[in-house]
Amino acid sequence: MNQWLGLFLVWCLPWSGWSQESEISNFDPELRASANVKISEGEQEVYIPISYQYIPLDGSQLAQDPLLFIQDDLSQGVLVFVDQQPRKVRWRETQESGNYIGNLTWYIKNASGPTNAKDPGAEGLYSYSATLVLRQTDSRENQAEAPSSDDGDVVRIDLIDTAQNGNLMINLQSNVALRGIERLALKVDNRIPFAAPENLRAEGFFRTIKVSWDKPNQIAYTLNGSEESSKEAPPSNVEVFLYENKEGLALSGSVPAGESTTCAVAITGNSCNVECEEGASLTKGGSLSSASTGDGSTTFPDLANNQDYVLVVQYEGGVKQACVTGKAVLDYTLTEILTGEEATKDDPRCFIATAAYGTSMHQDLDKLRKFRDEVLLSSPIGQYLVATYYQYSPPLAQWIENHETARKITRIMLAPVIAAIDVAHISPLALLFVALGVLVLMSYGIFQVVLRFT
Amino acid sequence: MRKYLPAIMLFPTLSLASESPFTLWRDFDTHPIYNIRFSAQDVSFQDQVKKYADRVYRSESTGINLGVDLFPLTYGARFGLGFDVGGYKDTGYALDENLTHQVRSDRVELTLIPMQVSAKVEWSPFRDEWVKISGWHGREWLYVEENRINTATNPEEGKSQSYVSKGTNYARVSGISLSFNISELDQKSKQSLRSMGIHQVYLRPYYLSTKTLKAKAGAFDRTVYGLGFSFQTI
Repeated sequence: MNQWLGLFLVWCLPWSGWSQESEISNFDPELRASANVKISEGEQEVYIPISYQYIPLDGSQLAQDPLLFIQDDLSQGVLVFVDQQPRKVRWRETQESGNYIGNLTWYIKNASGPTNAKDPGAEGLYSYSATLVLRQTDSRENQAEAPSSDDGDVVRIDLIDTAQNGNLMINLQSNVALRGIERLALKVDNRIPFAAPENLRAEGFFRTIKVSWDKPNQIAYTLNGSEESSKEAPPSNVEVFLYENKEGLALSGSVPAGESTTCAVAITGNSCNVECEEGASLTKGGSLSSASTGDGSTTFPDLANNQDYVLVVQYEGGVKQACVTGKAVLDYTLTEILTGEEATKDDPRCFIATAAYGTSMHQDLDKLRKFRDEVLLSSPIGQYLVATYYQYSPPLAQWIENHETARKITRIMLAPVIAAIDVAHISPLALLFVALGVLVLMSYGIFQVVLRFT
Repeated sequence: MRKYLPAIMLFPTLSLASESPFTLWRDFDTHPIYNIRFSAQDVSFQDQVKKYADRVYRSESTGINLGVDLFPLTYGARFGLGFDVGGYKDTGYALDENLTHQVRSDRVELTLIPMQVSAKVEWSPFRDEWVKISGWHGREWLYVEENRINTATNPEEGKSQSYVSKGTNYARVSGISLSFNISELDQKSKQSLRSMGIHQVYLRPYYLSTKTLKAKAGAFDRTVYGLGFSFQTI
């Protein structure tokens, strides 16, 4: 059943952009990753370490940095994706009861790209395609379920930049049973800014500083190599470091060889200048906080008011820096003036669910947050609903938190919502059918009631 | 209190048994009367609150109020209890360290939810009650919540930092109102309202003031001018 479901879901996945497939002549067979998987009955999530690197045809290794350094002539090399961060692969195995150890290995067999119809050597984002080979072995005594082919299950993947929050999504499809592997998503963060942030500024708020710069969309790219789908996207992995502004401030950094170094900061009035060794990157050492952004701005909360800070923005793949000074603002609300007591911090997120579950770390809350971020906030009506919820839910959440029965009832009421989100995650089509079914049942019920009373 | 209990229990009976020298009520007022009220309010803060509210919120906002009166006793006038709940919301900006200028980066939102219970008296000098005079005195629980919303991030994204002051104040409330019967303006409406259990509809301007007794979240003493509709049951 699960295999059929897997095939159905795979069939549902978009196939766009899969247009080319070329053998990698210099594919490095050592570039493969494996994960030992302990599989028990039911659904498992398998974490597979993947990383990627650029291999030019002359065999030299130009870059192994997690950030992709786009070279001048991309046509002379191929990309092998091996994501260095563990990624999730969902695995289902229900045919056997009991636990056993399986071994899942995979590597990229064929890859092409990046391609850019406008200008292959230009700065920007590119689309990729590749074939992923999954090999599954079974260490049980009875290996009837082991794949018969030496090559394992061949899965075609299509890597398309979705220009959504820097995600490069892999859509995969197979002509063989995937043994329950439904979906694989890989985030390849290859966008780096190619220009210094313009008009870098720090704005002060109560206990918060916001760093921002103009032209957050600095990268033009072409989706699927089509002129018509040219877009602009924000750079990613722009790091911002926060330091306390004090005399003799020196920033910790490292050079490409891995040796540590320091960068000097010169502050004159409101202007700030940071000097690092050529190619050196700042490290977190010595900084109060740091953040990565691709949106052209980031904020640092929970700061001391009226304290001077230095904020350093590191860009171009972490080899160039710019800085600005900032200060959180001390101000007063009416109630603070009247009572002399400072307002307390309030986290306006998932109040009711957090109160019901008694923790903000419950996995169901992650589902709700994901639903909020990816579904609700993508539409104006959803944004309005979220804002209204944040406005009115705290008092109710407080009451629920103090009443165990209310917490239980809330958890029961949230269960179908979370189940619906789960179903929607597996297949929006299935959710549509469930919703239609509920509507039909409700209509029937109303019809019966009307019949009875007329 | 206990020694007055027999007299209190006799009170409604007296209203039916003997005609008070002040009685100008209609004859069929022999069972509890209800008033259901809806109104809009112009709220003004007092004293210190006004001084800083004018800077933070620039001008007071309009509130709403829903109320129900229950008059089980009649003796020349109607005596009963009034229950009210309201809402008031305003937005402004936090003040700088000198408490003089707004800091535009930190938006603030004030929410007041007054809940009032009052002893009420209602009297009309006219037998057909085309105008009624009411007065009430009681207690108020005022829920105060003030949010400082950091505009560094988009609050609609749910990622903004929010700092909250909240608490419930306890206050004294007093008010008076005039109610003008507008049912007679349209007899057809009157008949259809009657089928819904509404005897009269009044246009009701009123004034009330509150004096804070226990301030948990700042003494939000207020004077309120309101205008609304009152629906008197049959």
